[in-house]
Amino acid sequence: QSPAKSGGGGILPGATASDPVNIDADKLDYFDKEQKLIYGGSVIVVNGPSTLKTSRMTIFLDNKKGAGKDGQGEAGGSSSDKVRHVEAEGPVTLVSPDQIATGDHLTYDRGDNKVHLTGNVTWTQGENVVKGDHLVYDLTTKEAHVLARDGSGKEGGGTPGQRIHSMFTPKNK
Amino acid sequence: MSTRNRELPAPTRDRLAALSAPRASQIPMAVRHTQRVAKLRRNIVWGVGGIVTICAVFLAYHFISSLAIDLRFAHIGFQGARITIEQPRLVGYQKDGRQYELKARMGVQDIHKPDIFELEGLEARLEMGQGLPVLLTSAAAVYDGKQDRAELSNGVRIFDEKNYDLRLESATMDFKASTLVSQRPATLKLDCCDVDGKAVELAQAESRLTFTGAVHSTFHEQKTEPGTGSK
Repeated sequence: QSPAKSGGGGILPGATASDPVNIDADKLDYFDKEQKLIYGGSVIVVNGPSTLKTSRMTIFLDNKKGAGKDGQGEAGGSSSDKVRHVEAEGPVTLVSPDQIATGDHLTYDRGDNKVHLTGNVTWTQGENVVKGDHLVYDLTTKEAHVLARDGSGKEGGGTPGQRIHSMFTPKNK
Repeated sequence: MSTRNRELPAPTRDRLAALSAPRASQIPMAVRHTQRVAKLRRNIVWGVGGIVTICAVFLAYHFISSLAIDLRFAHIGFQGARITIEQPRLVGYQKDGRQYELKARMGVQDIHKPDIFELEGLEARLEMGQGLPVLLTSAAAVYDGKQDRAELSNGVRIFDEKNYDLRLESATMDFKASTLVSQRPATLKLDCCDVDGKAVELAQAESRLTFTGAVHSTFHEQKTEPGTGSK
């Protein structure tokens, strides 16, 4: 799996820390107590060069509500670094400059800084296509792994009987 | 005895005398009776008047105390049927019995519609979920004390000291149900992001804010914290 080109710090592949996250939707429920935002109705997320399209997305913010205006979070990071976890429910389409990945469910977690796409995953780059059950996209190492089955979620592992299907089309010389 | 009686035969005279003698002695009694009747009539009139007055005062007191608002003010002025009140403070009650308090720079009340207050510079302290206080301000408002509702206009803002700042053009605040609804564009500024929408609904109890209609959010820069694997 060829590593995708990405900087670290964004919530989508290819985005850097200074790229804002723009979200458009039909509806938004913001829960101040739980520090949670639920977007619904053709949700489009743009972060750096990547775009995520889904029908429903939940963003969990950091519960550091007391950070105050001066913006000093625990580790000195900017107070705006609040997105702790993202969950998008499908169908989900993730478009990067030269790749498109689709699946049923997407999650991002700032803890492990990875994007997980699960359920009927199809990942295409140009004319190359890979199909599987679980795509793990590491925003730190900029590597993507496709697993046959997300059961154990073990990287490189897979349950016998399920296989990854890939099709690489040679370029004409 | 009058001359006319002396010409009458003796038996007739005696009968007349028998009749008129008691009548003569009853005149003072009649006079006292008349005076008593007149006095009674006066007492009745005063009594009825007093009862009516007491009832009116009782009704007025009952009416004022039944209004779920408690009105205090700094200065009051009268202009025909309109009362101008400076720095009014109104207290009402939410559905769960908790009290809410409204303050304003100026209020005008029409005595024909005592429940309605036209307020300028409204301020109200609200409680979101978990008792988190937020302040509601509005340049202009029409407050209905009976409905516990206020039509807010000319710039409405709900904010707390830290990172919650909602701004709208106009809205309807239902203090009893603790909800605010606006079909006008609204902007929310949080620590992490800014949100815009064409309409908004605030439910205090759940501390929930729902935006609808072309909702757009911008999360400011996202920096991964050190120690989470970032190189």
